[in-house]
Amino acid sequence: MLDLSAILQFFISGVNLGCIYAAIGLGLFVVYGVTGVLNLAQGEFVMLGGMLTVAFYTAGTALVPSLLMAVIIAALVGAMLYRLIIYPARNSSGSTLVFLTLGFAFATEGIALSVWGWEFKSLPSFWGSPNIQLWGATIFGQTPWVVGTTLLLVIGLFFFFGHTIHGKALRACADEPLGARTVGISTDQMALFSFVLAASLGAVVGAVITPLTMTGYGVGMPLTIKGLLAALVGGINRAEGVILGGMALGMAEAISAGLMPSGYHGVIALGILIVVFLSRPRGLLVAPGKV
Amino acid sequence: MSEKGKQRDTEEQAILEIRDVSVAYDGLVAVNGVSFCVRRGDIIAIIGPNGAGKTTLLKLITGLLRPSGGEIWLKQQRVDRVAPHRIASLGVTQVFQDIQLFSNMSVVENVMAGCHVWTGASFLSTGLRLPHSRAEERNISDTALRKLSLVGLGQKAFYSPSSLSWGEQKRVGLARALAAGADLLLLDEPYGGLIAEEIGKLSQLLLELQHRGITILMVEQLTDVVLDIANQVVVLRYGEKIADGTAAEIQGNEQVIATYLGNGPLEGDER
Repeated sequence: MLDLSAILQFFISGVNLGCIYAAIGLGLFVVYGVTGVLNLAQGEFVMLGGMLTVAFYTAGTALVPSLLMAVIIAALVGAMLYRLIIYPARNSSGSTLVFLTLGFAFATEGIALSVWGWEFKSLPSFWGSPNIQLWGATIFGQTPWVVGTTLLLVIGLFFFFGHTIHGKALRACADEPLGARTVGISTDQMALFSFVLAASLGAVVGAVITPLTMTGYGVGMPLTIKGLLAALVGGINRAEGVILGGMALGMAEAISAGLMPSGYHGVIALGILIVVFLSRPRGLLVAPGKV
Repeated sequence: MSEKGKQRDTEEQAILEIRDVSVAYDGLVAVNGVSFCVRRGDIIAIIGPNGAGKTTLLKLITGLLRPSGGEIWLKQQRVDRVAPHRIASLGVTQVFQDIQLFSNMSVVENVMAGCHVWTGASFLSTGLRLPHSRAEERNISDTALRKLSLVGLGQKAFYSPSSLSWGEQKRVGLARALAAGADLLLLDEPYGGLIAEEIGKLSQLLLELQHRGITILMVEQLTDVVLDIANQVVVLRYGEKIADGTAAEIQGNEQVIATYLGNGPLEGDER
């Protein structure tokens, strides 16, 4: 029989994981919404954010400048991915573009391995945030930073897309690229920006989760898969769906981690995906038959 | 005035010049050696049977298609190799037959998106809400509401486009094009799908826009309506220009009459 502290611990872990998956899923959502490209390199930006922040921090730079420099570099790498790989192949099929992002992901992993080695790396909790005990459950000191950062990113994205002219231009490209082009919106510029934005989001997430999860050259692809599951479960065409999908996946993983042997975690996530796809093929927030 | 003088005068007033433009795709010549001038402040109608190349010609002007021959000059700049968003920034906006409104935005947001072409705020300053970008956002919002009032939809600014009638959606498309700063509007079958009352209202609106200095180039099949308001009519058939003149001149042109009605008078409506 589960006691209250165990249930609370599952909930805290679920929220924590859910925030991470939702934030990665939002990066996928931004790029997919504007360009229609499923960017399988999104997790690599999370890896780069973590590894670069660790690199700068251990070289003696303060935490905030380390994080900012990591985000700027990841944003530049995102711009390179679009300008050097996606843009020249922009008239190719969707599957070709997906494989190009996959190739970029493997290349990034390889470079990270050669630069930083295979060891996992970590950061201390931000500003030494202590663990919190709550009714027998433990909230790690970094968890509020993860949840708070995700909330800020979500609020920032909703504000940007809903209340700024550039946000409207991005939404226009997502909805009617042809209509957008003929009123003067450069779909190429918007696509470039979506990659830069997604890379920056990924890097911030990567830096913030490193004290909790550690980071290494190979963490990107598993995170991409989790973000992708979150996006597909919730519905990749809607930010609310991606957030809901991320939270559902995080909760399911946290509960399964407490109740089942460790090897079954992936089964739970994939099981949820199969159930959702069979009942609501376009995601939780879109009823069957609707677009 | 001599013929040469008249021609020079026309060229000086021209906002758009199509010079011997051709395009072929899928082995078919869609537009073949078409030339004409569009004078600033005029309403010009391009008419012709289905498959005459009318819509293709609009796509060539907006840069969505590139001509295989000939030149397109807009405000003394050659634009036939220029990207669509750059052409839009020169003051040319196309309103499509199916309008292409952004369904994920309200009516006023649709019109605001049209303002993106002239926004000076960078992504960073917009994201950080710097004072000048906030001022510009207010300016964009005011501009969008003014354009919606101009087309008679001020009261429906916060509706979803899908809740509007077809005629109202067409006017949202016009407001969006005007918000983009267009002084040359390219309209693809603006009267298509409208009921009689809406047709009259749209004609009034187009004449009002002309009065405000906007040049209008439209492709239309409903010829009796456009002959009433157009200063100049260009007739295409099988991708070639067969006539170019005033409505009266076109109505008396034997080749045009033969194209439309065998040997009867041109009354226009082919539907």
